[in-house]
Amino acid sequence: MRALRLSALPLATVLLAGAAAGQTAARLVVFEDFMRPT
Amino acid sequence: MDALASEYANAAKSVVFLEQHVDFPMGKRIARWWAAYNSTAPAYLPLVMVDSGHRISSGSQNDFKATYRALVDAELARPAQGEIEAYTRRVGSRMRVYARLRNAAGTALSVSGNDAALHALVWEDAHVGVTNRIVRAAPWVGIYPDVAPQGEFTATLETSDLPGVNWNALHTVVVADCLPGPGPAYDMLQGALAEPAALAADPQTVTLAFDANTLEDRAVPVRLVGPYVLNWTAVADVPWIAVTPDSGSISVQPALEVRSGMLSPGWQQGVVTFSASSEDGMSFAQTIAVSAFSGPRVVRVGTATAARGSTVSVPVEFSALGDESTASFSLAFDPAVLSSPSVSLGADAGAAVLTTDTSQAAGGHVAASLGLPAGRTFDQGKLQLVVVSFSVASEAPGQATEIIWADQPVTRQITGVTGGALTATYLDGAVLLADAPIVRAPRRRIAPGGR
Repeated sequence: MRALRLSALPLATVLLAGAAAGQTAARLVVFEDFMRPT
Repeated sequence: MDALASEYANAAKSVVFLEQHVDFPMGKRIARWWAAYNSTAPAYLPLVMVDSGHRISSGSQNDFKATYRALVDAELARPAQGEIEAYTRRVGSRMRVYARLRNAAGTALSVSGNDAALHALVWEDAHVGVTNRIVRAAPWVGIYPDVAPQGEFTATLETSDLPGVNWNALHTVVVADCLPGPGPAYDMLQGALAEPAALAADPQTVTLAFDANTLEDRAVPVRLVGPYVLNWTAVADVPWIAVTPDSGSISVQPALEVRSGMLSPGWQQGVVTFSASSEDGMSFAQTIAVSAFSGPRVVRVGTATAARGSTVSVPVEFSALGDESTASFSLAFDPAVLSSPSVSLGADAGAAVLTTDTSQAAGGHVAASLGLPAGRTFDQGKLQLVVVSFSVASEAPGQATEIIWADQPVTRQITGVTGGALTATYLDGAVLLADAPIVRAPRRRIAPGGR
């Protein structure tokens, strides 16, 4: 059986994506304003 | 609020500003404000909350912008406690929202334990109330059953009919919140802007080179992204690509396997089509274009002719497949014949930086390393990498002297852009000594008549 090697470039892409997933993502802040139009 | 929204948008900071009519609130958002307020004292408009009530404000302010900016900046400085991936899709006059939450809080989330919920805040960029944005719907779902830390929760939320809205101006942010502690205030784990439902495949193109002298199959991981309800199948239009697995849910990530033994010499192209659909009627397709090149990767020491007592330049040539970014090697030679090696960049080395090692020249070894800037590769084709010059001894014996590959002082290696070692065939070279006694065949005088 021939060895199967992970290809260079796309693997890097996946590693980067994996690293991003493992990190704490930046917070998206939601500002909600309850008003009464005059 | 509009001015603040522009300010944060211009600074590329992720803040969503939303307005609701206090007398006709959507969903259970305003209950989050009252939970944080936790008082029977009257509250004065406007009621403002950031991140589900983690910070609130009410009533008139001397400087609204400064007060609200302080609330927002304090929240921006906190880490998110979840990851959310969300997609929207218009179904008739309703908005359907597909959300996936990964719990990055240190605690389990559940509607019974900490009133954890997922909300879809659908707003329109329109001046309806006071600001240029107005929430049109805020459907929510309690998180059930429990989602352990690092666990996932998926849900489909749908608005009621949204008559009279400009659908091109509708946006959705999905937020997850819960009661984080013994206090009455809720906190938001994370929010995410929803994108129009679609299937994405990454990478969109794949280019691979195969050394025909040492065929080796390759697997290229593919990342499929889309609404959690999608299931996909994959089909390749050429026999030398296999997709493993060839179907699955959107959370199953496949790999493209290129069967090197089935490749023809030179370039060939294939296309893999991913088709994804959901039981509720979505259907998408994405393709990945695969280009594969098969050819021998060869590094060859040239052969040159030189007179004794002169200098000789020997090229090192490279039949590159186009995916190589560094080449390192050592050459061995007979120090009784060749000496004082010096290495210079070849005509086709491009932007490569050359490092040489002549510390073992007296023992008949010279080494060179070429490296291209990060991310760059050598052009495909036959390249002159370096030229090695030697002095030829004036009393050199013999008619030729070999220059062969060695692994001292530098081990031979070719690497690709990510540093992985690549296979190659290495061919030796030689210097032919031109003024060696030429052995001629004895002349024969042929007499007329053949005698």
